[in-house]
Amino acid sequence: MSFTSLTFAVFCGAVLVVYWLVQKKSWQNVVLLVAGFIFYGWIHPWYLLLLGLSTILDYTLALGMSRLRRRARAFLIISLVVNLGVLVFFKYYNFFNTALAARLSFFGLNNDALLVSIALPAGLSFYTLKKLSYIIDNYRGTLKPVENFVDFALYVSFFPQIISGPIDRPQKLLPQMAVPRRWKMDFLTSAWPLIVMGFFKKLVIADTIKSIVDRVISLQSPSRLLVLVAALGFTLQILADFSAYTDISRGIASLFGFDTSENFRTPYLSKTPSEFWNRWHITLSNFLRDYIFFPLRRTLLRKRTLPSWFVAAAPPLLTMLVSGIWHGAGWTYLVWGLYYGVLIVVYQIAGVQGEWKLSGKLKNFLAWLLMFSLVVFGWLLFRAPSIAWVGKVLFVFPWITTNQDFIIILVILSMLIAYSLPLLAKLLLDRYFPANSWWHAIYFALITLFLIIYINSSNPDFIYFQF
Amino acid sequence: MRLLARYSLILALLLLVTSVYIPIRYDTAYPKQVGPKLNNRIKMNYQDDIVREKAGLVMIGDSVLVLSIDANQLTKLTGVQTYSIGIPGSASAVWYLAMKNIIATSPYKPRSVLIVFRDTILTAPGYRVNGKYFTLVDELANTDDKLLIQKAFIQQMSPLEQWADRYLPLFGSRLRIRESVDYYIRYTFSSLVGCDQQCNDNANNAVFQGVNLDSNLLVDAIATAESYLYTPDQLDFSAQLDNSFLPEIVRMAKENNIQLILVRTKHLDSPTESAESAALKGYITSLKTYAKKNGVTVLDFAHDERLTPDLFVDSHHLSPAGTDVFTKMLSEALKPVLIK
Repeated sequence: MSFTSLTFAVFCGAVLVVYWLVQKKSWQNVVLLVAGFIFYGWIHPWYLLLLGLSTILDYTLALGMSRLRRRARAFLIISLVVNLGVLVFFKYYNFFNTALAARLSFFGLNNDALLVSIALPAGLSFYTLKKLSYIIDNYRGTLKPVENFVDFALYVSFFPQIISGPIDRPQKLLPQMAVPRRWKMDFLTSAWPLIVMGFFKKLVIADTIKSIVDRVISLQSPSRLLVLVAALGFTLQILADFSAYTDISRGIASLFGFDTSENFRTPYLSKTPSEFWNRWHITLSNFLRDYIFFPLRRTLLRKRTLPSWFVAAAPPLLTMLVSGIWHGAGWTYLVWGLYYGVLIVVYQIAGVQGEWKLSGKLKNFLAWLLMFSLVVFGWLLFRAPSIAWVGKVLFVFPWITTNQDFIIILVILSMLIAYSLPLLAKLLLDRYFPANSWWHAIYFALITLFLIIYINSSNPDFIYFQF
Repeated sequence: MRLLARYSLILALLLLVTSVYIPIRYDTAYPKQVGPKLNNRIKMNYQDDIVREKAGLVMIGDSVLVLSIDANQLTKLTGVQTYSIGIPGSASAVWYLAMKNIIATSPYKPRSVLIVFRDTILTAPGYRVNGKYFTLVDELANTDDKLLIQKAFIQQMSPLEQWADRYLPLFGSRLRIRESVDYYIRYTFSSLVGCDQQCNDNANNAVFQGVNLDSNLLVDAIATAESYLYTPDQLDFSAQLDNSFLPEIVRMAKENNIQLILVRTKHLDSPTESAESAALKGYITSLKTYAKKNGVTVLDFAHDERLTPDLFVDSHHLSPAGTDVFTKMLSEALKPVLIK
C-alpha cells in the first residue's frame, strides 16, 4: 500500500477514526498494531510471518537479557545473527546467487533453484535497525525492556514508519506509546503542512524528474555534460522523494499523536561530508554513529599499538562502507559508501571536522560549492547502472556530442531549475517569515493547486512510450 | 491553527478562481462528463489502405507486431493479402478502436483479423491510455465512444476521482494544464537559443532513439513498465473479462463475419512453460477456453523453442532475423486456419 494511493488514504482515515474513538491507550496501541500488520501485509501477507516471528524473538531476547544478565551477551549475539542474517539473506541473495550458480556450473553442478529470485520484504532494512537499536540498548543497560508485547510490536511495526523510516530510537517512541493520548488540534496543525509538502515533493517534483534521469541513465554512451545534468537531476529527485516520504510519515504519525524524528535538514547546504551526514537521513546517520562509528573508535583507541592514522581513518571508512552496503546490494552502493568514508577522512586530514566555519562569504560559498559538487558526484555513483559505466563517463565518453545533445541539456536544466524553485522558495520562506505567515499560507495553497494538477495525470514523457 | 485557516481560505479562493477561468479557457462546461474529451477526427489512412489493398487479413498490435511480423512476406507465404496496423505503444483500447472505427466501418471488410498480444494485455483496458498514449487513443476515437471512455477511463477511476473530474475544473482539465506547464518549462529555455518546439522534439528523438539505449537497462525498464499486467487483479481472467474490450472485439468480429485470430507472442521474461507463474498459466487457460467457446482461434507462441534468445533485440522485440523466423512460423500456423 503506497502512501500516495487512494487505498492508503481510505485506510488511514478509517484507522484514525477508530483510533481516536477507542480513547483508551492500550486499545489505541492495539488498533495501531493491527493497522500496521494490515498495512504491511497488504500486498504480500507472508511478509507478516517474518515481521511477527522476528518481533517475538527480539521481545523475548530483551526480556531474557534483563532477567539473566549473565546470558545477556549470548542473547545479543543471537539477535544480531538472526536479524543481520535475515537482512543479509533477503537483501544480498539475488546479488550473489547468479555468480554462485555460475561457479557451480563451472564445476559441473547445476542448481536452477539458485537462480530463483527472492523478493526483499519491504521495510526489512528499516525495522531491522529499529529492533537492533532496541536490543543493543537493552544489552548496554541504557534501556529497560518493554514488558507489554503490544507496545514493543507497535514500536517495530508502527505503520507510518515501517516501510522507509524514520528509524526512530526506542527512547523516542516507546515512552510516547506508554502514555495516554487525547486528540488535540495541535496534532492536525503540525501534520497537514508535512503531508501537503510531502505529496507535492513526491508527485510533482520527484516523479517528474525521475523520468528525465532514467532516460539519460539508460543511454549507452551519453555525453559527460548530459550525465552531469542527470546527476544534478538525481540530486534533486532523491532529496524530493526521500524527504517526501519522511514528511508524509511524520505527518501521519502526528495525526495519531506521535512526535517522530526529522530526517533531513537542508542537507545540500552542507560544507563538509560529516555535516552532510548530520543533515541527510539523520536517523540512519545517528544509528551508524552510535552503534558502529563510536564503538569502533573506542575499541581502536584502546589498542595503543595501532598507528594513529589508522585509528582516525578506519571508523569513518568502515561506517560509511556499512552505510553503502545497507543502501543496496550492488557495487555502486558499496563504492558510494566507501567514497563518503574517504571524503570524511580527507576532510579530517585537511583539518576540517563537523561543521566548517569560515570567515567571508566567498570562502563559505566555495566550501559549499566544493561539497555540493562532491555530493552530486556521489549521487552519480549511487544511481549509475554500474561502476564501469561511471568509469566510461569519466574517461571515455565525450563532453558533448551533437547540437541536439546541447538542446537536451538545456531542456533538462530548465526543468531542474523550474522544479527546484518550490524547494528554494520554501527554504527562503522558512528563513525569513514566521511559520504561520500569510506567505506560508499562499505557498501551501499554490503547491496544493499543483498537486491537484499533477495527481494521477500520468507522466507525459514516459520513457518507454515507444514500446 | 492560524496557518491552517489562512491556507484554507486562500485555497478556497484559488479553487473558485480556477473554477471560473478554466471552463472559459478550455471551452468546457462544468459539471462535465467524466473522462477525457475526445476529438471527432479519426485517422483514416489505415482504412484507406485496407480498401485500396483489398486486405484479406488485417493484423493489429503494438511494436511487437511491427518488429515481429513482415506483412509483405506473410502475404507471399499465405497467399492472403495482409495489412498491418502496428501502432507502437498501443494496447487493447487502441486495438478495440481499430476494430470498431477502422475495420467494422470499412467498405471493404477483411475476412480475418489477427491481434498480436502478450499475456494479460487483452483484458487490461486501462493499460496505456493516459499521458502521451492518450494521443494514440484519440487518433482512433470518436467523441461518442462511450464504451471506450467507460472501460479505459471511468472504470479506472475511484469514485472520488470521478467526482473531482466531473465537478472540479482544475482536476478535470489537469492533463491539459499539465501539458501547458510542461510546454513552458521545456521549450522556453531552449527557444532562447533559437530552438523551437519542432527542433526540441527532433533533438529529443535523436538523443533518446532506441539504438542509443542500453539494452540491459531497457529490458529492466520494460519489465517494470509491464509489471502492471502481472498484478493479481490483472491475472484474474474471469474478473477482468467483462471490464475489458475483448467481449466487444469478439462481438464485432462475429457481427461483421470476420474470423478473429489471437496470436500470443513470446517474451524472454517467461520464455518457457516452467518459467511462467501458475497464475498466468491459469489466465491463459481461461482465455483459451473463452476463445474456443466464441469461435476465436488462439495461436500461442509464448514458449516456442524455435524463437531462441539470439533472435531478440530485447526481452520482447525480435531482430530482423527473428522477424523472418517468426513470420514463417506464423504463416505455417495460419495456413490451416485462415479463411481464404
